Amino acid sequence: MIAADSISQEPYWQWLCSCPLLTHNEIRLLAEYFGSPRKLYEASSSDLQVFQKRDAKWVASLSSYMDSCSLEKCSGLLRERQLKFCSRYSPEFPDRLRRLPDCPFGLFYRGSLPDPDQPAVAIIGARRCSNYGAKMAAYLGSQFARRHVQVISGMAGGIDGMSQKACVEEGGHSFAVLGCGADICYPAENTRLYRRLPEKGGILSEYGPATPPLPENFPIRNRLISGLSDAVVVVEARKRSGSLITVDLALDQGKDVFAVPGRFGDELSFGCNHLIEQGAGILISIDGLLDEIEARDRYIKPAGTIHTADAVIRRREKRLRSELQEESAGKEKTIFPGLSDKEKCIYSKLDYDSKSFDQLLQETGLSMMELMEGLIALEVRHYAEEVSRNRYIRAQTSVQ
Amino acid sequence: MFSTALSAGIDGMESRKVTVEADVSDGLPTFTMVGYLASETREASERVRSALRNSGLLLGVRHITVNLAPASLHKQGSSFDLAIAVALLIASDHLSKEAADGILFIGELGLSGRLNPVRGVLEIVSHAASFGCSMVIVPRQNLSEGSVISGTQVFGAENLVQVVGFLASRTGNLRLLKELDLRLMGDLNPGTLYQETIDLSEIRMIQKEQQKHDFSEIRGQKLLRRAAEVAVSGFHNLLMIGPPGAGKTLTAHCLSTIMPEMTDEEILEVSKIHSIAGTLPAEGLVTVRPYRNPHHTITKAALCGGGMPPVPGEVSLAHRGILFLDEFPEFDRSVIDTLRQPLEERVIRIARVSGNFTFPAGFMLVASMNPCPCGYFPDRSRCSCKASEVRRYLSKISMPLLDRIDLCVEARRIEYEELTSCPPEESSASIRRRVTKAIAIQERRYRGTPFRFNSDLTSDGVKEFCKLSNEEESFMGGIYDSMSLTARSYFRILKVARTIADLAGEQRILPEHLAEAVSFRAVDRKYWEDALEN
Repeated sequence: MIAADSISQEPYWQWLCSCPLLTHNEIRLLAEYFGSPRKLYEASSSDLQVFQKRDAKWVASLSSYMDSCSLEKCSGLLRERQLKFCSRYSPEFPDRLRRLPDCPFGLFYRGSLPDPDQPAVAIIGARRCSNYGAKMAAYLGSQFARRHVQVISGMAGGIDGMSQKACVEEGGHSFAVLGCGADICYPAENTRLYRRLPEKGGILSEYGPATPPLPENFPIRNRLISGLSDAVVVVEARKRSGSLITVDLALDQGKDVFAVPGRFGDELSFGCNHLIEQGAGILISIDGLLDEIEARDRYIKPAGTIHTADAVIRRREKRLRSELQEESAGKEKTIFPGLSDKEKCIYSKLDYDSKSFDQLLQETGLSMMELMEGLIALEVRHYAEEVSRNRYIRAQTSVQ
Repeated sequence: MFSTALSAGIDGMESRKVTVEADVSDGLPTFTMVGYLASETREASERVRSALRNSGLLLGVRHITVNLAPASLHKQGSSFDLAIAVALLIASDHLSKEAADGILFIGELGLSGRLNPVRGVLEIVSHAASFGCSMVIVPRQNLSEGSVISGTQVFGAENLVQVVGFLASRTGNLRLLKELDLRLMGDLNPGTLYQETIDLSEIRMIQKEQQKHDFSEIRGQKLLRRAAEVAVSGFHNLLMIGPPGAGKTLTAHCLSTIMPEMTDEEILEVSKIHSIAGTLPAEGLVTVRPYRNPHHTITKAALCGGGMPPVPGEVSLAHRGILFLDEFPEFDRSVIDTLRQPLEERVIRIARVSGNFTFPAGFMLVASMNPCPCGYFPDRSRCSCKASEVRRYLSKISMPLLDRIDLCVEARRIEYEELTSCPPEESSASIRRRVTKAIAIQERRYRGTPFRFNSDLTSDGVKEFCKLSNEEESFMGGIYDSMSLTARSYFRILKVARTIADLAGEQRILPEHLAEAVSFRAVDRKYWEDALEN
């Protein structure tokens, strides 16, 4: 059994977890055999002989790490890389992760760790996403930021990055869990996001400094993304998507899973729609999702009052009623003020999926000149957006 | 005995008079050629000697020296063969001195005495008068292009015997005429040569019928068709972005069919270039606007012109027509960047140690590209390219060159139903009528200015000719801010709007013209950055 004694073990955990060749299970094996990382640190290489039968090469490189890397050198390296460390026995270690059966022995991070008292939601999805997916991810990211919900994701291209970018821009707290060392920006295209995340959130990894982004690391880190969150939102996923691994892990961990619904037949929404078919929550409003989290008693208000499920349901009904009233009262007035009939007609044909000019020409029945003028008027007022030459999407998101 | 005959060669784009001097004397039987000659020119000695013998004209065992003057001019090509043969015949007393007076001889000889075609005949014939010649004898295959120039008598011959017969009868040398082998006269009467009159309108018609494509074949692509029309009307360079199979190549091919017909001067100008490059059609003239689509492996020399002395490259062959660069990002960037100067100045200057050569290069650039390596971006259900891959693909484009492209349009994939159910589209001929009108307006407007088309306008020119009234000014102001345009792209939008207004026959540029110009606005680096952000 591992001695979870105290804070005195912390530097030794840091030293052990920094070792670049050890997997999670191997750390466990060593720590259990020696009783504590400190004992391993103090052991001589002859003590490692028991593992000789297991893998001679592994033993050789481990003992060379033990010889070459001292505690001071290890902490120096982390300082140089601007990384902080926190072992699972440290009080700062996220409680949410501690419950995991394969909880990492330590976390390396830049910035800060997620606040255990604030709700956290994971937003995950396809890297190669559609315009619709990108819009939804950004929308969710900024909405969560406004509601002080922490956004957890993997900083990948596509949905992950979009949601975190939007969250950071809105001044929210967002945390990226990486499959490489937290001192490495992967993928490189998100460098800006990587630099900004630690300002108000953090970059986390269970892998030691300078660990390269190995493909096998990513499914393993997914358990931390779901583990750190109260709920997981899937924005877009193909039939066989990596995001679905995270969903499975989240369900194993007992987390709520929500899917952003897509259209029938959309390849990129197949995964989401399939999740819904299997009983995942349908994400149609942010507050609905937050209520759901509250209802499961995970979300404790700073005041310490736990909302009961009844209260939540009552509140939700009230809100729905008021929304309906607002909608019927001011629909004509509030939506599209100042748009001409032609512009409204064009707007109604626009979609989150890009449409070509010729397609719009056919659908609206306008002349080429009218359509060009209309589209530009919409673009100037940020109702439409040209995503690539002569392909247009609806820009203003109406899911308020 | 010593004799001379006149010939001419091509140096860059110009013809140069070359005097062939021959000296035949007793001595060792050698054949020496001097006068700064390229190797193919020096080899004329062997060709001429065999040609004379096989035509039944014997020089005997003599010491022969041939000089091509002026010796300071580097001579290349085989067009001097005929003149050398004639000079030798005079020097060896077969022909009298007066026989070759006032005649320019051009042509390459085969060993049998047959005359083979050469390049640059059109250019040479047009300058024959300034060389002091009122008659030109050319190979029969070059006769059509030679006959275009009025004021100079041009004769075509199939072989040396025909030429000798003509010269002999000219000076009344009946003895030589009788000795000639009549079988080689072909269908000619001894003492005469072939002549031809050129009917320009007939050639126009023949070549028009040969054009394979018509604009009516481009189905469904309303936007693309319109962009093509606007581009041609102001001679704006055009970029087409779209997936494979969207009809980009077909459109480029058809563009020359909606450009206004070439004027007679333009035909002559273009035909001269093609004559020098050896790409003239059989009719002897180029009457339809050239369409050149070099492969993306093209070298700098092939694109701009090269060699020693330089011969015209693709940019010059596309003069007054279309230069189409398919798969634009695949071209070598350093090759593409050489287009910047010809696009600005409409000529290309090639500097060599021996001098500077200037070739015309007034082409319209049409480029096409896929939006990403697989071609389907931003349609993410089909495009499987990573953002970094798309970036890498686009980084291959030369941005300075992109800055010189005024119009950009999407070519979209056509669904099967559209192909089959779409009503027939407007034909090239009826679009051409509108284009011609718009270009006529520009000609009137820019008379007395350095500009010719709207695309030529400099920023000062834009301020003068593309004035906006208050309403349009504020319209553009809104667009400028919300679309974060740059000053450069702003000016290009105005130029295109001017063309659109010209197409509509409007004096003033109206908001609708600006709106359309904005829809076709050129792309820059930021455009793709934004697309990738989404």
